[in-house]
Amino acid sequence: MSVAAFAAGFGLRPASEQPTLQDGTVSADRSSAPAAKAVSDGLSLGGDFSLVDHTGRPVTTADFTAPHLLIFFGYTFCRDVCSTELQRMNLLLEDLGPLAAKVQPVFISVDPERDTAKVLANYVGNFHPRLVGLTGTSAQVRAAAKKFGVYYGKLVQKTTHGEGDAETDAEYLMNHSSLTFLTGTDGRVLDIFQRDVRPEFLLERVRRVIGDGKGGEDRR
Amino acid sequence: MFLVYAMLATAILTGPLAAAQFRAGDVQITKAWARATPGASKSAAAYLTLRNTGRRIDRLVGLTTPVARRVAVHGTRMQGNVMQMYSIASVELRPGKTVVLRSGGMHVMLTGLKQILRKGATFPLTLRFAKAGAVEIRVSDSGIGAMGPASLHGANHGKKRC
Repeated sequence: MSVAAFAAGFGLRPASEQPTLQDGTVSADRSSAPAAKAVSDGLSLGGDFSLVDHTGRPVTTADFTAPHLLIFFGYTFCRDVCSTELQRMNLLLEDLGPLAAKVQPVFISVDPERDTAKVLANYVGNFHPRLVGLTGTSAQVRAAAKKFGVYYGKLVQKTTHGEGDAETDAEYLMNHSSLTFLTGTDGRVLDIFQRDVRPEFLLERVRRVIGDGKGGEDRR
Repeated sequence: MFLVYAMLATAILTGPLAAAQFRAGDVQITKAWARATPGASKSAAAYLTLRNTGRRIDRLVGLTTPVARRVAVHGTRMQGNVMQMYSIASVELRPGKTVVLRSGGMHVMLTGLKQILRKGATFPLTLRFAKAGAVEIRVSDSGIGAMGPASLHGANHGKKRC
């Protein structure tokens, strides 16, 4: 798997070149379509991961019974986008109605230092009732993020309140990819959604992948 | 009878049904809201809309609140699909312009949270402007995954699509 090639195909460009979002795609060549096509063309993204869920239990992709996983990588200290992304996932599952049973919502923390199972348990309960939070050792999280081509890193901030202390040192922000992944039961990515796609767009695309069941099987 | 109507109108406009508005000099502050926090959370995000109705440039230069040890304004920038946050020292308010702090854009970050923010509650936040001076506003807490302030017509069921 060449993540760099995939990223180039996905059209990653500096923020200054981004046109405004209109109908759920940034511009025609930056929609998720190239990613989905790349995946069906044989590019393999995602896959099996080995992490720890919010009850402290070790899990792998094999432990999920649903035919699809809907995964967002984030961290609980982030009070802005991560909360809204999980809420968006929640609304999507509501809109899917009976089809929602085919989708397992997953939140993978890119901040295992602070996001222990206990912290995750406290957090995921606020979103979809079936949302599973995953964390693990730094190595486990690193391996999982790498499989999905997810970038994450600590942002070191100078504190403006004089000396740094343990409390402010623990207030770091993180930069991270803000993509939502729809996978098959083996964790392999079937489609990818950028942060700002409209709910209608997300719903239609997810329905298409999971609804008729053909999309998932063809791509195994 | 007119007096009754006038009093009623005043009560409606200044009562709980009125959108909360605050003012410091020429700066109008509206739609101040925050997301409720899960128990034991140390951070929270808040948003507000600032409008400079005056003729001179002003800047939001400081924020303090009794519910958190540190308050800062953060911006969000996308580098491709990677989301980055950064500190903003002051927010410029041009004359006649409105600046909206919204999810995914600029937001107020509270850290060293001293209490849980509960949906339906409010907390005080003091804003300090370079020219307009300081004003204490009240920030309303919406649901934990809320996309916007709770509507005037009852609970925000999280169905807002922004």
